[in-house]
Amino acid sequence: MNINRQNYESILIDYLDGKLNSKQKDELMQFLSENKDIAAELDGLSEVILPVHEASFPNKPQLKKLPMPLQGIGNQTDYLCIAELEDDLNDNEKILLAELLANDKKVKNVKKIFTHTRLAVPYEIVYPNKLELKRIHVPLFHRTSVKVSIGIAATAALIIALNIFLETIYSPSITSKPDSPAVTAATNISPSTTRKTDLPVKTSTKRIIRTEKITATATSPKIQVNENTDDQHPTETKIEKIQPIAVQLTPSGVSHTKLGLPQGNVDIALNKQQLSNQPIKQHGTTKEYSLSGLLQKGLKHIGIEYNIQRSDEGRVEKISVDSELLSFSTTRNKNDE
Amino acid sequence: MGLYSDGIYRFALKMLRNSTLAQDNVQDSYEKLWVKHKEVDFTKAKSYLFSISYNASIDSIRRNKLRLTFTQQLPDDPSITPAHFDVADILNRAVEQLPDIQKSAILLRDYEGYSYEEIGEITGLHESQVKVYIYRARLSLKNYLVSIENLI
Repeated sequence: MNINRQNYESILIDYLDGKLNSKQKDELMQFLSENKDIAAELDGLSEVILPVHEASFPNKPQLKKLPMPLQGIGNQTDYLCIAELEDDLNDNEKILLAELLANDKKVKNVKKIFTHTRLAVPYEIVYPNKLELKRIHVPLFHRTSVKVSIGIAATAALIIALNIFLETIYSPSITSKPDSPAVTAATNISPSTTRKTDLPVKTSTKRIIRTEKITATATSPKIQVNENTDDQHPTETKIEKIQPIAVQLTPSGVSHTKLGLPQGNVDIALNKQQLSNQPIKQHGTTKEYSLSGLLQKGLKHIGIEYNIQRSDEGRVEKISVDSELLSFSTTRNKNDE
Repeated sequence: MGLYSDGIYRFALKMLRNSTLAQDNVQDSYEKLWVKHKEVDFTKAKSYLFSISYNASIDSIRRNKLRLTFTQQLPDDPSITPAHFDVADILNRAVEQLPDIQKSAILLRDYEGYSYEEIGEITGLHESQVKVYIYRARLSLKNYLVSIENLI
């Protein structure tokens, strides 16, 4: 054991606890003789040991296990009477109670009083509104049904609105507004689907007069719009060809080349990102619409207000449709992907 | 269904001492049962209802510290004379003075005939605790009856 001024404290405590053997004690004594200040410290420590206080718990008999569990009832007679009422008596307790009843009339009286403590069921008290407790089935208003119904209604409304909008745009009788955009759409039609119409159309436009000449080929169908300004005289517009068009939805990241479309001819480019209310892009005389802008314009034309609310991440949170006939909004479930 | 609602209503009425609150208690209990009816074992529906009713009653008592007039109880200041002496009425009065936990235990025991174990499941107490509460309640009721008997 190597004692020094760094580790002497633990060795001193072991010495006071009597844990050192004779050799270790000799080493400690040698160390203390060489270090008088530490020896003085040891003298002080030995005086701090507390003497054992002589004290004893006064009610030791109460801690012993009782011959009968009295369930918190101090009186044995009370316990036996209650236990009998509760049908909890064992054989020994039954014998004991019988002896008490035979020898003590007071016990009989106590037992009689305890029998009165059993509560009688008040059958006259009945619940008055039992019919209200029945479970009500409301399958029509089930949450899933409501969601599906709204989804179907919204889809139908959007399709109708889109159709009406496209018909309105390409209808010969449309009245062009000064600021209305010319919309061209990428088409994917065969030449056999084209048909000729020679319908003269009057337009009431004063500032901008459009002469629309629609030509289509198998490879590059397009609608050409020429604009002339004439504030003086409304002129006739002659539509040489009207061809049915199909809107080509171009998913994000798909190039024109991959779709076999000529560059610059796809003016309605729709993708998920464009569902937000982005400003309308204009290229020369044509304008590019997002799907949401297209729908909003179409719906507004038939008197329906349509709005999409988006989160900061650009995800659709709420779609609301409002018209004279119907009004609804649907909130996107966060769990839906 | 009818038997359950009556039993729960009696229990809630005794606990809350107010018929309106007791009716609400019964309705709330059934509402919660219907909400969780798929998770509740049919054979334990009664215990489940009583458990909800008990917890709601204790919450209501703690929250409001209600001591409203019990519609079925004796008049507020009855003069107990031999002419008015009725064990059932005095016992009702004695039950009102029990601590809530003892009252719940003895009501479930005497009104519904539940075992200590079942009362333990309803109240969330250990079986031995339930037994102690019932024994103490009976002793309190007996002491009350004795004191009234001495007065008379």
